[in-house]
Amino acid sequence: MKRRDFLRAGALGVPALGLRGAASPRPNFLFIMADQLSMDAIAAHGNRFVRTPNLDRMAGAGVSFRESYTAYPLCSPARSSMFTGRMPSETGVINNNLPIRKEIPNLGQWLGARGYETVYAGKWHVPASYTTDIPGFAVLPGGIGGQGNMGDAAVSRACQAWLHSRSGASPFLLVASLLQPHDICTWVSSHRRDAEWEKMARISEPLPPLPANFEWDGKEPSAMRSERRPQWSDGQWRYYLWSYYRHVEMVDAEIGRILDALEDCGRAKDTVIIFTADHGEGSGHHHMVLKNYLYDEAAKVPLFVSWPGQTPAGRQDTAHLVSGIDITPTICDYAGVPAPSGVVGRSLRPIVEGRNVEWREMVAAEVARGGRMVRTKETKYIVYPNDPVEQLFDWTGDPGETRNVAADAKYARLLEDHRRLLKSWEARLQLAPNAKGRGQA
Amino acid sequence: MQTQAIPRTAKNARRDKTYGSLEAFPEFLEKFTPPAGGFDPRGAWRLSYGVWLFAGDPEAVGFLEFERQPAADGAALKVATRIAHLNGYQQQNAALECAADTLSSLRWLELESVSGTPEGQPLPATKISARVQVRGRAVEFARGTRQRTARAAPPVVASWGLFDALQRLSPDQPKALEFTLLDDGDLLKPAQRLTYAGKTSIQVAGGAGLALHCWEQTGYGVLPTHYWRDAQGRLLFAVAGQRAFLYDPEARQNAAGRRRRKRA
Repeated sequence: MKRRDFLRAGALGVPALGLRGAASPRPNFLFIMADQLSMDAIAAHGNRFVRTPNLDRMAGAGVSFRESYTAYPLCSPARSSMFTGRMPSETGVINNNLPIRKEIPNLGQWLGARGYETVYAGKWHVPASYTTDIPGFAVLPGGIGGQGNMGDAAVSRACQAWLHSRSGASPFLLVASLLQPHDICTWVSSHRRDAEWEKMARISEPLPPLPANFEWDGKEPSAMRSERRPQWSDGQWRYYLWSYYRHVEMVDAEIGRILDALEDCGRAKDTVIIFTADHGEGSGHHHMVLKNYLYDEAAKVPLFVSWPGQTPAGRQDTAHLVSGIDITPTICDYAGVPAPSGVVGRSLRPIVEGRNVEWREMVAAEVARGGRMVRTKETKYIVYPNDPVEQLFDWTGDPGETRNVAADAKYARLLEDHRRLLKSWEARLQLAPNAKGRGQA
Repeated sequence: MQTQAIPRTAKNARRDKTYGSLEAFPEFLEKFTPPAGGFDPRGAWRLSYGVWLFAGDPEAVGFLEFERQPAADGAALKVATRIAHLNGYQQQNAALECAADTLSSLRWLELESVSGTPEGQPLPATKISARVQVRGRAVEFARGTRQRTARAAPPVVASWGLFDALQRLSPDQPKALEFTLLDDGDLLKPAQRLTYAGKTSIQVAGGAGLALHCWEQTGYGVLPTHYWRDAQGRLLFAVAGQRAFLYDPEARQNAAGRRRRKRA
């Protein structure tokens, strides 16, 4: 790989579809979120061990961004970025259970002040998980903290009832924030002793295989070494994957209820549907579970944008590096309102509509302990403050991130380029007081 | 078959030992008195369960009640359930008619769902009424004037109807039973399997032994779910992932108006 290849702007145009501008200038928005859903845990993305008819339905109705990253692979920080278009180091939500800085408006406040009815159902977590008090939103009843396998039904039911009973004339933004497959956290913490694995023996169907990048390169920053389960056997890892996929199917079913309600209430043609997740799940890659680190399985998330009759159906976009910070400007763009000042994300609408657009060459993510990631088309760079071990992965030959080449002299200039890229990115950010001095810049 | 006491565990260790298992409920089972009297799973009966969640300490969050009336070619079920949330509750009432076949396959179901405030006031805007009719492979969902039809591999079994069917299943059933689940009134979940998982015996109030037969369900969107019934066929416990249904005639009286606050 040549240095100029990754420094070149990734402006990869696709044929325009001639659909732009054909619809109402003020569409509704249905923004559905899952919690802890990996990019790869979706049948439409090629996974044969999970059934996701409703996720597939959304992916098939529009554009699925396959190079989509969370701004921070942990619940509260990621959500703060989705709802503001700013990085967590700007919103001040640099860990779980922190509020967004008061001077930064969230999407509900922004659109609510511009004629939209803004409604929220489910998990918020910035800072309270389930609350009746979300600035800028009317909050629907429903939600059980900590357990998605019952609480999500109440959330989807609340959205269903609201869609069927709504009589308002103004356009709406409905956020349906579901908790699954987050229950895998409890599953993982509950499977340490032999007794908990008894059920594994009775599963009659083939268990999913171990991932191709099950092994890992030990040259890691120390903060990247958490969340491994070295005591699990290969069979136990495969049963964990099988169980994770059942959690994914739970949220898939609840999504189906909401999509059906949108269609049944006659609003589907006037509604842009956006779906994403706050972060992924380790899924056994690098022997890892859960989140809060920067390997792709935790940092990459599904992101679908669809609008019946307006978006091309069934397109999987692998050309553009996108992020959770792009959601707020995308919704503002479709709504015909300017994005709030200071937003560092960009509207995905031109890409969705197939316009030739100059796009970013890198996407960044943050994580606990000041960790930072830079992903370019062909590389990924990870660094933590005060840790001498940096990571650089060459995606042209190692998309599974199994060989850290940062210490390889052949990559010295490339490594330096990435340091500069990160510094340049961070220089653009308006850091929150609690984030100053924590990153690299 | 040996009788086993469900061991007590320290609170902070419980989540390590009890996922998807009756082991999550040692205090409940120590005080549990099995229902007395005869029971005919083919007759008219009423059963009531406490709904529990657990991700650490178990917590009762609602109730689930059944009333069954036999009919010439099946059975009618009335179901009432109420779950406390962090900011209120959700109440669902359903009536369904099931066929007299192995899995009590669904003919039709009518559902009303409403959410309410922590003080118990229903919120009219949250009300949903729906009817589901099964005709062969077609499952028709009607809500007001809106109707949609989905395809499903028969038999279609309502999750609530499964509570009825399980009480009549023979432990000698030689192979897995396959079906499509209609969960929570309107969610179709394909590719379900139900298998007999053996006999066990646990200690309940006073150290008495209680013999139980266990069935296991797996499928789309379902973690291994275990149903335990007594020697007469009465379904006493069901545990699925982090939720459980435990026989409790006083569950409705004990139901809370809202759930205590927890973080996700």
